Amino acid sequence: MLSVAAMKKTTPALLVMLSVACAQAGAATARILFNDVGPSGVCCFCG
Amino acid sequence: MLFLRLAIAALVFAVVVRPRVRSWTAPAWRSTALLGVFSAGLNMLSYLALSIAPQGIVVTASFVGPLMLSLVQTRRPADLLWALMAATGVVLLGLRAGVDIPLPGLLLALAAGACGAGYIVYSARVGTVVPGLGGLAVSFAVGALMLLPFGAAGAGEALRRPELIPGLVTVAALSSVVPYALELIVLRHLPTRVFGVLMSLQPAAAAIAGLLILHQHLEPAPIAALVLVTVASIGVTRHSFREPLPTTPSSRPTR
Repeated sequence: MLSVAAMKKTTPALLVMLSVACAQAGAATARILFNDVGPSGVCCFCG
Repeated sequence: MLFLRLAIAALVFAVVVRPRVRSWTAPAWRSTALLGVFSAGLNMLSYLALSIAPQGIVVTASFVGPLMLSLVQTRRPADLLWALMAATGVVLLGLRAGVDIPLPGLLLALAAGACGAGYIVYSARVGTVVPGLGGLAVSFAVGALMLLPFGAAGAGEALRRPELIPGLVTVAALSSVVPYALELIVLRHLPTRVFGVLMSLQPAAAAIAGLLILHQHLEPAPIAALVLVTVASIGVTRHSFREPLPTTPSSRPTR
């Protein structure tokens, strides 16, 4: 079980990851629905 | 698209949060306005850079700002190590042998990165001087106003097709509303130098999404980059809370 200290330590990092995942999902949705390739497009580095 | 995204986000925050702007101080107005300027600048300059330079280069160069912010604010050798490790990872992800880098595109991406650093600083400041998420309503409105001359025509065309509105709202929620709100909350508890390193997870997440969703192949260099960025993020997170946590907004002078 996570201690309070460990939760305090990891929660901000997890929220950043959630934020990044949301932005990626938004970029993917924009790409699929509107063919919009933004700066955080899902396949930035893959050609 | 970008103008609509910011305008819809401003509307969502205004309706959901209903900020009490009459009680705001001058620093609160100044910080929220500058947050809007930097957010709009970050997005617009990135799109402009993308129109003339490869995406990997643009994303890599635009992370120079946040990582420089981390380096400038570094107090300990360990922080320097994590920032340099993340920077190496981002460069490994973005740079490819044999790719021509047009100078105007690179400069635009670096300017976007400078706006990214400004975004982090002012997002933290807005979190300190404005209660709740009210600051984001005004910031997004300022950003949308800045982009109005460029986006009004396209937005008018899109709004004449009501079937597009649910998709636009979904994109605005996923791309702007949720991430900006989460980051504002996080920056109330995390030093900006740590946040700058954690932001390097973004290109890594893009590469992983490409691998998992689009089944694209990753070369050894991007895999090494992912390891570097992940280790740097874990390292900076583990070390960031060895200092006493701030207890009140006014006791956070580092932002």
